Amino acid sequence: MNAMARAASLALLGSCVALGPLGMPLVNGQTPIEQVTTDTPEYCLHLLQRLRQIEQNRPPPKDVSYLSDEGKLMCDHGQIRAGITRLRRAMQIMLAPTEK
Amino acid sequence: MTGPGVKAAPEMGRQRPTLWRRLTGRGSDRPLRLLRSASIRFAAVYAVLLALSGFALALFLWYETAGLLDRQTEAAIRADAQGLSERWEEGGLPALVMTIDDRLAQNVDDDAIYLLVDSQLRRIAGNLQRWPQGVTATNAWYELPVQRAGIRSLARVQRFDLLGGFHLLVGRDVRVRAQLRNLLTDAMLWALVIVVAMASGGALVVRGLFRRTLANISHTSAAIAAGDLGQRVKLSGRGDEFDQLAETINDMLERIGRLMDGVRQVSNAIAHDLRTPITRARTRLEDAALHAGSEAELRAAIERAIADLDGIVAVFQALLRITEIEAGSRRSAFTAFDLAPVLADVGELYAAVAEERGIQVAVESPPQLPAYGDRELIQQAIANLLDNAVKFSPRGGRVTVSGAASGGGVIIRVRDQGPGIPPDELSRAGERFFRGEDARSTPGSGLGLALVQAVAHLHGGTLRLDDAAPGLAAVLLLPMAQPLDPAGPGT
Amino acid sequence: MRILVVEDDKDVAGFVVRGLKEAGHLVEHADNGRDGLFMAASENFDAVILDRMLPGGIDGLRLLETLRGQKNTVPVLFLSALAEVDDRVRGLKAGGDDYLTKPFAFAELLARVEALARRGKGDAPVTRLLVADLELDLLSRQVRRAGQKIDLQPREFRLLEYLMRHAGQVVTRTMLLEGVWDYHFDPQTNVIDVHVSRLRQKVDKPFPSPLIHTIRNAGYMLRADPA
Repeated sequence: MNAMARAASLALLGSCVALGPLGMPLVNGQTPIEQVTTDTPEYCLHLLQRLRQIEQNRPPPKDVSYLSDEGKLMCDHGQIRAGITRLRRAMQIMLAPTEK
Repeated sequence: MTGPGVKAAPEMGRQRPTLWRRLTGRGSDRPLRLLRSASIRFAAVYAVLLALSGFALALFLWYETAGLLDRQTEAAIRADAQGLSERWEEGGLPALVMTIDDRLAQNVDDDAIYLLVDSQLRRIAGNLQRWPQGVTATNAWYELPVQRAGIRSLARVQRFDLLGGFHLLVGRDVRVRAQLRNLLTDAMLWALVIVVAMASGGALVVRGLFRRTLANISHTSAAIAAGDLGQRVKLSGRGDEFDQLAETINDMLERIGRLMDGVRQVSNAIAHDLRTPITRARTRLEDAALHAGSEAELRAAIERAIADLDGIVAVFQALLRITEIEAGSRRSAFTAFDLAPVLADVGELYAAVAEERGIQVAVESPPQLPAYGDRELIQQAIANLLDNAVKFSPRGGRVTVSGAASGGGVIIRVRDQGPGIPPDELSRAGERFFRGEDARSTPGSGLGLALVQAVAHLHGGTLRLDDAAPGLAAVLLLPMAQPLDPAGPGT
Repeated sequence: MRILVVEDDKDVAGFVVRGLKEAGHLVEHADNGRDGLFMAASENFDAVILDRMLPGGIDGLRLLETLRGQKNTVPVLFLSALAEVDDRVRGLKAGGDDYLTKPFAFAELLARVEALARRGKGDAPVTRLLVADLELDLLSRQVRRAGQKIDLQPREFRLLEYLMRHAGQVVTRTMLLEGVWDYHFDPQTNVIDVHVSRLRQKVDKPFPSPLIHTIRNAGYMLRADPA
């Protein structure tokens, strides 16, 4: 492959990459911005309830209860997303064996 | 008569700036001059090439990093959607809803976005409040602004339509990735700026180098244009391309010098050798016009003048013939032929004249002597050599013409027992109008050997004059450019 | 003989026409290619003297090619300042019978034109040439004069043959060089004179009346009666 062809293909490649995101339609800000419902205290509570349900059938390992306690605490103190993350990790551990 | 030729005339007449003027900037129109400057063009090409390659490299890196992030996101979304659609097919709506809930519940990365709605766009499952208005097409990617716990974020989503009028939206929060991508893009842009800056700097350096290298050559050319033919381009000694160019130019100058010498010598010779007979003819005619006592006297004078003019014409014709041969246009007349009868014929032609003067001409040649070239010119060259030999031989002398195959060609030797040419004159004997000091009194134009020389060169051969002690041996070596077929002209 | 001269240079044309008339020929003159072609094509000439470079859109080469295209076989002698070998070859290829470069000696031109015009008569191939008491047999390659056998070298035989074929005409040195030796250049030494004089030694000397005559400023002529 000669230099010209190589340069041309690189340029083509580059323009594809550059134009790729531009070609994507952007749902713009004129419509009201959608709320994500999994960042709310309600969802925090919902996750906690589900965890409790599962824990009824099977005693949770130590770190699961630690994670869920910590998550609950954080949700209570307003650190919703961080709390939810911990609850999710706890959920993941609880569900892992049955999921797989 | 108004044609393109007339229009073009002023264009052609316009003085083109010399290389020197271009390089030193003594031209009149600066912007144009800048564009015409080779060093600037060179530098510009360098800069553009470097910038282009920098750009290409940046694009490649960008594609491999930021692009990769995007592609990973998209692949994850597709895999997610694939899994969900399998659950839908296995367990219908309840299974799908449960899976979505499960996935959301275990989404430790906190970036998953799902939304399942029915045909009325009523929410069934997922973590988006409502179906976003803009998302209308399947199989298309959307950048969706979302609100997450009061913070604005950006999601990349795709819509999937399910049987029963259900719509599924699967996406990922890409805010962190977008930040990373922007960071990378910025880095790339900065890298480009640096590349462009370096390219410009490099271009200046290249231009300087180019100029410095050419300055040497253009100095020399300018000096030569000004008439100092002794100048030569200095070599750097590195043996690089510029040295090769310099050597080529020096060789060219050498050749031009030799040619100029030749021209000067020829014009001197013309001035001298032709002035004499022209003066003689003119004097004769004027003398006859003024003093002729009778018509017979007048006629005789005119006839002698005509003979003088014929001599001048002969010299001109010989000169033109040499020029014609040197131009090489006769090469088209090359054929394979047998040299033996040519030698015999020329020998026979001159034998009679030689005999009148008590000189013996001997031809030594194999019965067949295949050669390749212009037969007529070789004939004339041999005749000229023989003419010389007979002219300069003493009474009772012997002239030997011999031909032999030699290597890939033929060697023709004409040897006499005349006075020869003194060693210091041997090298100049092939020059036009050259006549040895001792030969001044002998009739001749001084063009005979020059023609032989030209014929030799045309055939890629050489004419060598050797001291045969006593006498002169003229050796004409003609390489055979083309192999002869055995059933060639000899048979 | 009727000779057409196509030549645009007034001086050269006038000189040639005058000379040819003096030599007893009927001469027509055209000073451009168009007229020259018209005359050459419409009238019968024994020979045409043709310049290469002519005004009027038709140069010598085109004129001759057109003429030959019409199956006109009139002998044509080119008279041209174009002296290169290639020019000569081109002229002969186009159908020219002879090529003479300017400047030229009128005697040379006259001799060549007369030789051409006579050759154009289309004489049948002969096996025996006879001039006065000189006899040349082309088959047995024997020469006799007054019944007496003369021994000649091959080249001398060809020289004599050439002279006898042009008996009664002037033959120049260059014509001999071209016709007998096939050399197309001018040897500086006058080699031809020596060869002719040797021939004379054998053909003329032992006999009372000479046949080979020297024509001053022109060449030689073989003829029966002394001039």
